[in-house]
Amino acid sequence: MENAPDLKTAIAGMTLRNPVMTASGTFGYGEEFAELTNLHRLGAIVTKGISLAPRPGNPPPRVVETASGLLNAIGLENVGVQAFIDAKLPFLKNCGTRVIANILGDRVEEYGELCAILSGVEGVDAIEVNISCPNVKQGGIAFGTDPEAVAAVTKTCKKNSKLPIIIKLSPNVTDITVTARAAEEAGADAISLINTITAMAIDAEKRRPRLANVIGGLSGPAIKPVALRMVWQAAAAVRIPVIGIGGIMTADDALEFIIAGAAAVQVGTASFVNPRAAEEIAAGISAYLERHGLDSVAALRGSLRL
Amino acid sequence: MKTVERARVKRIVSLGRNLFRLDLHSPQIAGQAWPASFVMARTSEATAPLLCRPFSVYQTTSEGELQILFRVVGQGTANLSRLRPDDEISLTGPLGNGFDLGARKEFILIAGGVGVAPVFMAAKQIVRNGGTRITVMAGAATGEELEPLTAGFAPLGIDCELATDDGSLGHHGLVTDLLKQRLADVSPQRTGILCCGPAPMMAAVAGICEQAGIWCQVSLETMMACGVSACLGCTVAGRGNGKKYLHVCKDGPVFMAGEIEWKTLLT
Repeated sequence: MENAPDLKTAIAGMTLRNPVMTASGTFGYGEEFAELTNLHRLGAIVTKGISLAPRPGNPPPRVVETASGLLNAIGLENVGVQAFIDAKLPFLKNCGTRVIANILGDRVEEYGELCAILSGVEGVDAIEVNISCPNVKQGGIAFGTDPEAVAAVTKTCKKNSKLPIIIKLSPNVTDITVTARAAEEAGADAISLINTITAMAIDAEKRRPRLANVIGGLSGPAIKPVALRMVWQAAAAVRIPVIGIGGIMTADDALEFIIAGAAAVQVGTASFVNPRAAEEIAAGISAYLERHGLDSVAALRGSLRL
Repeated sequence: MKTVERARVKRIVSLGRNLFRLDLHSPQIAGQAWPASFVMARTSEATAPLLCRPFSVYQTTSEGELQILFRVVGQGTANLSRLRPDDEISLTGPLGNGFDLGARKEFILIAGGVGVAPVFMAAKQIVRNGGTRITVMAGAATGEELEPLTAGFAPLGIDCELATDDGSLGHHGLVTDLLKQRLADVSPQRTGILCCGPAPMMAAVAGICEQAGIWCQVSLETMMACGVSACLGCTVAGRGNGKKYLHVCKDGPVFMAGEIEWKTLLT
């Protein structure tokens, strides 16, 4: 197409081919999907969350389907940062798109160490920080629910890294604008939201929780309206770019987030249902822009008519 | 190489109450499938049911046909049971590892219910390879259910020993009774067991094989969100010095029976 809309998206000092990334924990380390979709047509791959040491994860059952949703308690199983660098990064370096490493920890210092390590290797374009994990020093309360902890993690990450830092906010808060501003004021280059919503499911016959962990995180279309509301509120509260996440299954879903103020989006659970979802959503956004005579994603961003 | 394919329904065959065989034109996946490989099938274009459902490949043809067996247990399989010829569904596959068919000179194949799917595909492959003796032991709740599930073995020249819960066909009791009766004749050096069925059945077979020192592989089924080792949701507990957790889609669905912590799997 001669006058195809420009999907290039500048975010946190990076330029992405298009505004559609894969959400952490739903796309492995990219290689899992290499045969199923065109990785070079994605805006970025956000990796499965990485911790300093490998983590075995939670006992099974770890996943259960709920009404238009997926409830999971994987327990942050991952190979650890060294195996990520040795075994996963070589593929990602040559996969044809941007690589955003998602990190997690249970102490502020762990985030700092991870940032320092990942800043020192070739092939990582940015770091997304999962702050929905329990803060061991604060009795297990998630970092992401406490604005001071959000600021502390953000500052530590910025101090230990030259890479763009994206703080992934937890939706399990009363007012998302408080943690959004805390991240911005502490120097975050962008925020992404929402992570999964804390939830549970019960087998009434057995009177047992459906997840071994009892409580899990809900994703999928069921959470989209909640996510959209939070993205809209956060985008109005901060000047840094907002990355919209939560139940995006189609290009229309992604466009709603962009209209609400998101500079880019992440596609998560949809990749399980359709491994080509992210690629198809990027194509759908392009078709929409063309149909509406818009020459860029930026022209649509935050254009909600009130 | 795994792929996503729009599969066209050729026919859907009722095999009895709530039991179906779905024959799909899915040439890319059918052309590559192997015994105990599986596909993820999307059962709805809407958001409920949301996730794809995993199915073992039962049979493929050189004309690109891929068959699966399923029992209606929920909304997803109910949707599949309503498919009609020329409908299309999205399939991802073939996925997972497979049975090790070269491991032994003689095989006992043990199947429970629709677990016959990977066992049947293995039987066909073993027959094609030649030179290996096969015995099939299959069980189900009733004869009405078991008969169509095992009808494919006779044309391959394989006799089946059958067991039903209600005694309406074959042995009145469990398929594991058949195995126990046979144990005296089984040479642990020559014979291997391939097994797929309900978890309690596989656990019992695993226990018998461990005691008798017989090589045994099982094909497991779990709840699965992605099928491609991205979600890490299809976990089973590993045993001994092996991994603490195994993932059915990536490390399996076929495991050595001794790799699995069966007690955890059954609770």
